[in-house]
Amino acid sequence: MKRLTLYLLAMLAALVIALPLLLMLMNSFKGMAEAQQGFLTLPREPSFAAWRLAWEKLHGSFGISLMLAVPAVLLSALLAAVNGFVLCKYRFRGERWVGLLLVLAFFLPIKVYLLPLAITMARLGLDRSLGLLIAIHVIYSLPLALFFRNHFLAFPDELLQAARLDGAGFWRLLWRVVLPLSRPIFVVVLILQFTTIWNEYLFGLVFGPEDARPITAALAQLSAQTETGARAYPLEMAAALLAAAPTLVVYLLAGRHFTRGLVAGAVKG
Amino acid sequence: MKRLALIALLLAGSAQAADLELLHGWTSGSEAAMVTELAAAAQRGGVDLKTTAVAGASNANTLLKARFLSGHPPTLAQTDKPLRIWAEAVPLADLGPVVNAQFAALPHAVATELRSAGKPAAVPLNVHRLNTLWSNQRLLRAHGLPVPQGWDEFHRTAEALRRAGLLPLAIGSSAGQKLSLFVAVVLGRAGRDFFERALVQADPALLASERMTALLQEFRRLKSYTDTGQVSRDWAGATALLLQGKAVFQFTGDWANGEFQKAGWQPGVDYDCTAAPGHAGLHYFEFDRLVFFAQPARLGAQQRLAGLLLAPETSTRLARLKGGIPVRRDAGLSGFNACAQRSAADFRTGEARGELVLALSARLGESAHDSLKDVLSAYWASERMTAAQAQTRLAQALRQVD
Amino acid sequence: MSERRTALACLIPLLLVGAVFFYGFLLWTGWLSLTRSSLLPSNEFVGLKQYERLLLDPRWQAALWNLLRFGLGFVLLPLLIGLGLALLLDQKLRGEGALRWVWLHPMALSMVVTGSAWRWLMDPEQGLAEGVRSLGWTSFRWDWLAQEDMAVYALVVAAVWQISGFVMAIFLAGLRGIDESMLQAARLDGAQGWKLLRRVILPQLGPSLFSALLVLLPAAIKTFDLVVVLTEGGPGQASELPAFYMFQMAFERSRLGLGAASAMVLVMMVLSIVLPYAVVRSRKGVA
Repeated sequence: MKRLTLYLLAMLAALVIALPLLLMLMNSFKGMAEAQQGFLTLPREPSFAAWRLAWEKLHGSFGISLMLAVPAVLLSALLAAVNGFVLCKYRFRGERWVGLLLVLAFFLPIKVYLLPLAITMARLGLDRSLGLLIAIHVIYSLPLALFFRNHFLAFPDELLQAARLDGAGFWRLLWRVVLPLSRPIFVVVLILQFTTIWNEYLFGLVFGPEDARPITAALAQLSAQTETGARAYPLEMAAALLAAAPTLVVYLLAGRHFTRGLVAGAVKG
Repeated sequence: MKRLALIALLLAGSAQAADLELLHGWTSGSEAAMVTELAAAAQRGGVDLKTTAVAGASNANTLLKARFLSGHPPTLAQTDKPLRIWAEAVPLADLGPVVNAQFAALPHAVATELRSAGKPAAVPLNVHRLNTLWSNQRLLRAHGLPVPQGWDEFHRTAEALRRAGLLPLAIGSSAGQKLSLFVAVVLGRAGRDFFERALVQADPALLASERMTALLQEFRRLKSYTDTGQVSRDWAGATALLLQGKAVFQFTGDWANGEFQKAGWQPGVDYDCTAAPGHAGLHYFEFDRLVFFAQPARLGAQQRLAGLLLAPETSTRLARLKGGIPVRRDAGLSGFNACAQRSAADFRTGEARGELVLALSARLGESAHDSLKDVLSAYWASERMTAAQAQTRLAQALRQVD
Repeated sequence: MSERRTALACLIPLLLVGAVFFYGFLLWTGWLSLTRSSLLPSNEFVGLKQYERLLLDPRWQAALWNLLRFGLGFVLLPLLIGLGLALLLDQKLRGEGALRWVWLHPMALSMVVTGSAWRWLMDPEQGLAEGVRSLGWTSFRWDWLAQEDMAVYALVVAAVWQISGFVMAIFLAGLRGIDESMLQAARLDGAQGWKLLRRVILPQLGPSLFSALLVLLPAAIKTFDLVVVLTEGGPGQASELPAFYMFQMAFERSRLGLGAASAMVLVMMVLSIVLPYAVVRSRKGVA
């Protein structure tokens, strides 16, 4: 009996939480005119028209976003792992200060840096490009090193010593010992970074290439580009779901690792 | 010193080809169509023009600023800020005496807004009338009601419509719409003179007067004719309510004309476009403008483009696509429907009589205009704010200096 | 030794870059807040004038008050919901994976999508309220988006929906990390159900609570996209938050100096939460 109530509670919670997306999904299968009547009715004549149109408009930026997110996420995670390791295991002067500044940096709102970034771009003579955007994302992911640092603190040094005795230099050490052991945290960082970068709008608009905008900007453009005055809700919903699909899939496939990684101490008090 | 540095930055960016770039926020249907025609007109005239669209005004502004700071500013941009603000921040192009001469075909009120230090630096595109009352004629006829000519009649008509179960006034969420509505009340009740002295010159006595209190109260009374759904819709959503037969009146600019036309509605039969109650032939207007930035290597192309855009036929074509009226006095009006023709007639008569009323967005300083919008939209939204409180804040808003 | 050198050679340049991009830019923003910058940055020094303007602006004051109301809901509700969901998920139910995904998925969405979805749902005429009305309860209304006092809570609803999954994941990690033997011992002592929860489990979740707060509080202060999409700060300016104000002033309203001043105040607010934590941790030598 108690189990039953638990299951019921769980299902109820799931339904309530899933409601917004379910409604969006349902409405994305409606015809444009039907959607004007209200959001809560089932589609009378379900059609894929909105989805086809959304794909047509967005598939280009889909690719752009992928080309942006994959390198940026991998690079930032790798860098964070390396930096976290170094911060943890090698002593140097002022490392306490560095730790402090990194923690603080983690919480700074980076939108305020939009204008100084633009000026720096000018001083360095850089052009808007995907590479620039990736670089910016990587730089601002520096504080992620803290995740790895926390994790590595628990490592016994003996593992490293053993590898050193075998003649491993810094890179070998990293590749053979450190990275494999940091897998749970790595996954957490990958997931969080992918979500952040995939969903990011402003920097993509300002620093990304002119004619090849990431999907967030394309989505905004789509919402504003109405043919008639009335909003084309099915199209907007299909487009929003399309844009959200990759991150949703990531959480589906790697959700378990996400929680496991958190257990491993990614976010510890 | 600052300007020299900026000029250097701009120069560095303009060492390449003489192609021009327009940065704008015209993304919706009719706006985008106009931009396409604009680019085509440039092409025909031998100017290589690239257009960059950004959705949303604040995003467009952000991008524009970032472009300037990063040393890659566009050559020209759509702007709704007074030219003075641009002139203080960045060097503007001097479009030359030829363009200056073409300004003679523009109403004086428009031409003065386009010059900085006496030199032409911006080009106007379309005039938009802001004081139109759009009425759903089908519903009015069904209830035996005429289009109201004055504000008292408007209230009576609206009450009658409400009793009949209809939505008398359709409105959207933007603050600009509240401002237009308020101006409609002020001009309709108190006249052009009061508008000038109170709102533009910020005469403290008038702003503190009982008349102003009454105007604010009447403005607020209009809210009772609207619905709660207004917070999630824009002006086009409000027009859609008229088209769906749910609402009867809308106060918005002449861009709504395009919506009615697309739905196949006929002016005078299905819908009507009169001046706001009490306005008679008054033409309260704003105009789109493109500001040209100083880029010496491209000056020739800039001047050529400006000349092309000011040509009468271009003027007509662009206005027709976007739903406004041509800004040139002598531009043809073929292909414009009855509503646009009426607006153009009022505009030209008004100009001849010296009675055009340029919108507050172009007359007031940016801070004052923004604060005014804030006060009116807050007053509209609030159950608690009294007219007296709104009045005080209104006076404060208009006193703001940039 | 050369291992150490390689290691530091990797780290140091990146740290220097980081110092410039995080703190150098912060200093620049601070400088900007002391100037007369309007449309574009200017170097005309005006002292604390912008801060004076900021503190006297009723819109900023209202935004801060809104932040308090928003923050309270945004912090407390996800803690309760997240804990509840975590406890539920920890019961080893069948289909745990699917449940976890459903509960976690809002986190995957951008604030823009979240805001849009909830804007549709909370539409006074066509949203959920209309659905309830069509089911028979004809006088039901959900007009929060149109009410000056409730609009902030509309933001809370959408934001809580988005973040509760993450808080749940944190608490779940904390629950899974509790020593099984401790639970067994307590059970043998006769504790079960609520007592077990109160006496044994909750105290052990201290660090998780801490982590959750560390995520929630700065996130509340930085909330911006959601305001733009869900309420536009409205009705009127009733649901404006400080980050929204900052953006409007700096970009839309050509008041860069004022925007920079509000940005600095925002940063100081975030730091005032995080600094004590960071100092304590670095003293412990952990951080």
